Amino acid sequence: MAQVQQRPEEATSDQQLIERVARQDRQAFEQLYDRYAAAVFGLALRTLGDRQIAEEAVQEIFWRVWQRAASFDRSRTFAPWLFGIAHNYCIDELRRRRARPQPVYEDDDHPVLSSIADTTDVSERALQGEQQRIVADALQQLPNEQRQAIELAYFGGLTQQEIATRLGNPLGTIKTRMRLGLQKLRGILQDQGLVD
Amino acid sequence: MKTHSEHEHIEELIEGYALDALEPEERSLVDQHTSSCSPCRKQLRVTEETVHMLGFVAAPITPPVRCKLKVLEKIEREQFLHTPTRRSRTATPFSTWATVAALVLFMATGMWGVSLQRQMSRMSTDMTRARNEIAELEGMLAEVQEIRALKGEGQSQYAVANTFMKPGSNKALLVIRNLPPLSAGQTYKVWVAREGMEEGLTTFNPPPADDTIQVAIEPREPMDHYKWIMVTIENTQSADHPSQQQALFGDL
Ligand SMILES: [Zn+2]
Repeated sequence: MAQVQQRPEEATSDQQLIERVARQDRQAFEQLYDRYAAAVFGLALRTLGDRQIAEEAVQEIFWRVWQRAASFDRSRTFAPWLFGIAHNYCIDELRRRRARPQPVYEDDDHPVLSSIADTTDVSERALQGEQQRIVADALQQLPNEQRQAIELAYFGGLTQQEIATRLGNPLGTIKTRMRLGLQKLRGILQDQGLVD
Repeated sequence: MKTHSEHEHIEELIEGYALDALEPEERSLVDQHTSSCSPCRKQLRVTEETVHMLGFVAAPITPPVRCKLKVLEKIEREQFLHTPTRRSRTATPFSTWATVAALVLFMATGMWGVSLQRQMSRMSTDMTRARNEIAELEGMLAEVQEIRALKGEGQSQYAVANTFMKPGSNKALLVIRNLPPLSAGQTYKVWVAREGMEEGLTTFNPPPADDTIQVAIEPREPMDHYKWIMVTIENTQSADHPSQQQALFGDL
């Protein structure tokens, strides 16, 4: 079983840092921010599609990290917890703004966002590069329709019903694709030691 | 006791739930069931963790520095408002990320006035009691042309400090982070010096760990007439010569 490469021993772990943040340690907070701000900004930009709104998202997400650090469950890992907060915020924001005329996807097969990848900061990518590669590879292993259903929900904030309408498929088909796709993804990430 | 078919029905909804893609009625079914069914709750947790890993798929992009400064400023303000005031007559233990943020921006871009004034005015509407201090700081900082770093020594090795000054002026500001607390009766004291002379300036008490302190200093002569600046630990406020216990030292 291939395990993800851990950070060098001398680096303070995310776990240690978030525990210090729970005790109102601002320096620990800054370290976590420096580690994850690029990942969160990338996620916000991909989901929200607008730099300014994504900047506001980063601020609000990390503010929530500061406020909720005390409720962080030590038996879990930090990154999924952070991304959970980030994703919830972005989807809520997306749905709130949906009435406005800015399309998130111009074409369901080609998320607007893939174009943003050109501006990726290479040094930041290196930090979480290993995990990013594994998750991206895992997603690529899914059949196209399954991946599409998952991406439309995760990055597009669409419900199963909305996806079905959009793609012109029966609702049951979308439910099945989402289910099978996520189960397969979970299996791959478990094999890689990224998920329990 | 949950029926077999209820479990099965919920299991079919778990992926949609984790992706937040269910209709509200389906969502509440899952909420109800998992509140009392631990196997389904566990499955949901693992599935949610899988979904959250998708956050890694988006290409990381470094956000502008202002994002970080704004968050830190917000935290600073919240901490300030929710902790008892600590004030001393000689120093300004009013640590504001707004000020530090402005200093950083100043150093990075030279764009001083706008951001400082904006942040200062926002701070001061929140904290009227700090307004005078801020106005004074603002005037002083607006004059800054040079920055000199000080290094932590001995037990203060993790402390960092900068002197913000203007050649020709005898007003300067020392911004210090991470000075350790002192024993009772001890105090920190700022000195400027050149060969053959030392001039004792302000004394101050350390803020709690990790905090930033700003110390305004006003030696008799312009700052660039001195060669060194230092902070020592003294047992009495009126010491005439710096003790051997140096906390910070820097060239001017
Ligand atoms: Zn169950």
